[in-house]
Amino acid sequence: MRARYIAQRFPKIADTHEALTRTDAVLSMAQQLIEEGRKSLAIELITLSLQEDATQRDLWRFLIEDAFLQADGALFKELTDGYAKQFERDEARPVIQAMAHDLSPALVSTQSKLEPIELPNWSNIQVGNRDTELQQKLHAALEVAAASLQAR
Amino acid sequence: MNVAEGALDNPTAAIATALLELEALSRDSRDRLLQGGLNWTDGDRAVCDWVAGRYDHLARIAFSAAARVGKSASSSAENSVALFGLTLLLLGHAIKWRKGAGQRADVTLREHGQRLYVLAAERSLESTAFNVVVDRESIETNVEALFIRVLLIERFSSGNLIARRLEILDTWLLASAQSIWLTRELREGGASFCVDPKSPTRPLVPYQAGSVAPLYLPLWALQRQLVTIARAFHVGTIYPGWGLGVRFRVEDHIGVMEFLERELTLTEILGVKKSKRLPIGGEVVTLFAGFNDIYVHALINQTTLTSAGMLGSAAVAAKPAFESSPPEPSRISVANALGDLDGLNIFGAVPSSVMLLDVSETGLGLEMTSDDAARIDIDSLVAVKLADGRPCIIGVVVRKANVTPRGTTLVGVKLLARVPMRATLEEVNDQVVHSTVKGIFLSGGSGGWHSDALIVNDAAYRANQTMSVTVSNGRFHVRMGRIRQQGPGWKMTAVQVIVAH
Repeated sequence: MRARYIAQRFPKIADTHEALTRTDAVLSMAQQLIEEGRKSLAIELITLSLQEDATQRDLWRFLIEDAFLQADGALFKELTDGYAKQFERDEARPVIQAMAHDLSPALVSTQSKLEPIELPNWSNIQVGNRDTELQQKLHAALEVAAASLQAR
Repeated sequence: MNVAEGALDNPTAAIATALLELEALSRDSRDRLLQGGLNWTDGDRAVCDWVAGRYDHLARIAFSAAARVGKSASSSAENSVALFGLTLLLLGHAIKWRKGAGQRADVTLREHGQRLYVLAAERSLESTAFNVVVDRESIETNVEALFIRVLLIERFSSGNLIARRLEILDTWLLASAQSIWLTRELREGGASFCVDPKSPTRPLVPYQAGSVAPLYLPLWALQRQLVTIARAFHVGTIYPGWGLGVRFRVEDHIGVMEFLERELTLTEILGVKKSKRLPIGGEVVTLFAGFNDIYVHALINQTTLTSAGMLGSAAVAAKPAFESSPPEPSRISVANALGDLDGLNIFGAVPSSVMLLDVSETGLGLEMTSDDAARIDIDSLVAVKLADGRPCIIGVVVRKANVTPRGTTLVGVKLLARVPMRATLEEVNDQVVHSTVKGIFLSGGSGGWHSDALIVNDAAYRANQTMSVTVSNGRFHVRMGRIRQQGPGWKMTAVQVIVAH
């Protein structure tokens, strides 16, 4: 059932496990979904990928920063708890703590003073396989072609 | 089943028993009708009409009893709320099955629901919990949740959902009773519907800046339900695990999820009512169906895009045999011999006579003979020539409804593009002979390059192959990106540009 669901929901994914465990491919597809205005589908894709392989650090970080930006305290805590369990000693821990404090001081138990955060931009995917300038050239050419057909 | 209005000592119990009997009697038929799709016999239609009629009749008897109870000061809160809830449940069933039977919507059903909600709210009973039974499943709910369900079922049944998918959606709404509620204040930062239970003409409309309504239905609550539904699939189950819908295909459930996502996104971003449909006086138009037929015939005069000669090497492109002779009007469009059977429309003929009923910003309404309609399915790719000299538009079939007694079928088409452009793309490689791929480009228009798309035949989809195409004197190397939409024999993909000359 799960495999059938993923195959229908994300038609380009042929071999579910193999595709969902390649972080770059997942982020690339998520980037396209976000550009098409389907962010919730992108989030679902990343969530499914983490269910297949929870060691994909960049995917965790994407979801954590997105939950922070959405000001979803409950989801943020759920994700950061999961991240901490997966990566016990991680360089991102101070940043995540600062985000938690910014979101709600109650989420952070530390007594030490936290520096104001600068967002690490984890949720801004730049996989780099699409050149905006080239895409815009094609778009302009298509618009010209369509206009000429309508004018005939 | 025999329920007579005015002869009920205990209307709640009598109506509940009648509903149980109706559901038991009709369950197999309802399941068969919904799973059977649109290929109904006259007998099937009669059964569906009977089911719709029974729900309608029972709902109206229940409403009469509920309205009397609501006015009576002596009736207990417990009796009142149970009867109100049962009646609202029946009203929702009646609205849903009227749609399933292809009958015209009856707004009095929703108005009855509004009246009951107002009665319940006046006695502060709208949030009182009670249980109702739906297809052998006992669910905890309240008047408010069932009222919301009536409003949403009416709204969504007027759209493009087929009966099977409406059944799935209805089950989700019933199962989500505790998670969706009305608010008196508008929630900041999120879109909502406006709800006015006392106004029969303003049932449920998207909130727009400046609107004021007695109640609001926040969209975020519905969006969270989609997450719940997705999570069930992630663990290999079908939400909520009961109802006729658990036996339907995964594709249908996903179709409903995508329908809801689109509806909620549209409501949230645009904040406008559904685009108005302009009635047309039954004009005859020409319909082409299937990728091959559209590419060869419909778009024969909409070709501006060709493959470029590849660095001096020979290019062999399959050219349609009919390229120089435009098709005659109103004829049967016959799939011709191109030398390849890629996407050949094995039925050959396209509807010989199709009536255009209405147009809107997002689609068309067509009417055709049921025999012709049997040749196209939901998600079929179609092109429509509205008038000579005008480009064919391209769209996807999203709805089919049999109309009796005329024996015709109403077909709803969602618009993909007003000016699709036929193209021949050529593979970029070191070979002497380059294979070509037939494609139909759609410009993203105001949506920008993100919305540019390419439609290809099912078998021609190639994810990692670079291809060359000339567009308006510019030469491009492109690859097919993510599949955005697909149907029988076709796929629509994003376009990734590798090189632009």
